[in-house]
Amino acid sequence: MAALHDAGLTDGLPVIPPSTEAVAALLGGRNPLAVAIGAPLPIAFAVPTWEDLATIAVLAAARASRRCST
Amino acid sequence: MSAHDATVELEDSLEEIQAYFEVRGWSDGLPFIPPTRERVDRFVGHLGRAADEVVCTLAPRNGEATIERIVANAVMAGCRPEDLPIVVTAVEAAADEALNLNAIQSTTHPTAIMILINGPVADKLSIASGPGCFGPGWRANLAIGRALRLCLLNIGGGSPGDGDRATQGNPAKLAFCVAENALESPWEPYHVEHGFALDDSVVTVIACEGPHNIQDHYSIGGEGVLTTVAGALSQAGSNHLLRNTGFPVIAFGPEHAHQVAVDGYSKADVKRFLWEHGRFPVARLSKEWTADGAYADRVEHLTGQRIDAPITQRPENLQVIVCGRPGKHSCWMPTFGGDTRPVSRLLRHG
Repeated sequence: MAALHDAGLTDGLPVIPPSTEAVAALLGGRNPLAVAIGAPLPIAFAVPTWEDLATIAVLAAARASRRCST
Repeated sequence: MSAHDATVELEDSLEEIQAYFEVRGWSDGLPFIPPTRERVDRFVGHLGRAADEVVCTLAPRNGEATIERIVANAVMAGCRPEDLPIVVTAVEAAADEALNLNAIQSTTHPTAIMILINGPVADKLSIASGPGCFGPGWRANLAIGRALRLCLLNIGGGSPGDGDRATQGNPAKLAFCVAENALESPWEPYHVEHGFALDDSVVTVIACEGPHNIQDHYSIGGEGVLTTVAGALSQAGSNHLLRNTGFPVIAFGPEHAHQVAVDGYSKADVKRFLWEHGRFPVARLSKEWTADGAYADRVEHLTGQRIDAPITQRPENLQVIVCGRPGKHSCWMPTFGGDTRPVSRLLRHG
């Protein structure tokens, strides 16, 4: 948790560590490297993959039953 | 959780622990740090107070806020051991009858409790007072603010729909803590204005709504900025306008504050201006409010005229602080109204 905070990967509140298993559960078989949103997100203008979204969703405590769909 | 509180044994799985607590209504819905026996004991040891010391009781359940229970909730919130003196002081301040916690917890109004930190402890603990200080990214602010909320939930019984009867609630009820940006304020800090020494560290709790933004990119002088702020204060529907009472908070951004101060306005001048100009036309209030004339009678008693209603009894009631970074934004926080007062406590073990 401290490492995630120190790396600036949290909002300052506790998070669920995004383990490989937890991210995979949220992906639900989706290709992790596929582009999830077809437009870059300001201000860094990164194009998020499904793995990116799933990792962030795990951090925020989203459950697999609420996984993202297209 | 101790010799005094029940201990439960759960599998060493973060997800299972979260689910166990959530089902029992022991969390605010966000991920938390499990308050294990080892963590709680270690944090209590750092605080140096007896685990079973009763600091206060918290309404509406009148649960006993022992050091151990406060610490367990602070651990859950993500606090560091060094944050604990502030959390304990904030809990104690929240129980002061002047804040009126029973009403604050159980009202339909969406009041949160803002923790305002003044003095050297803010820098020492990296409590944000600058860029985006009410928002995400500031661990100390969020953890300290959230720790008080978890105490109100788990000790005070302020659970949504049960002890907490808020109609809609408010995101500021999750975590609401900020330090005053004394370095960039042109005026005396809040705690000095209220009788504390400049080098005192002070914790103030105020029962208020979340920040309502006030932008003014166009005014060049102080009067213009104050006119805009006064316009924002004079809104229908705040608890202040209901009975023209209370202690609303105005948080100037440093840029607005300097625009105002450079034109010669002291903090007292600011309060006077806002009290005189931040008024709502009585004629625009609902007829049910004004039909019997009592409302206009009170307005006349307070101001000598019956046309425009002040939001509180006197200028001194307005609580003025400075926080944020440069930018043409300020904000205000209406409070629960006349049935609550801010409570400040000297931090003794920071």
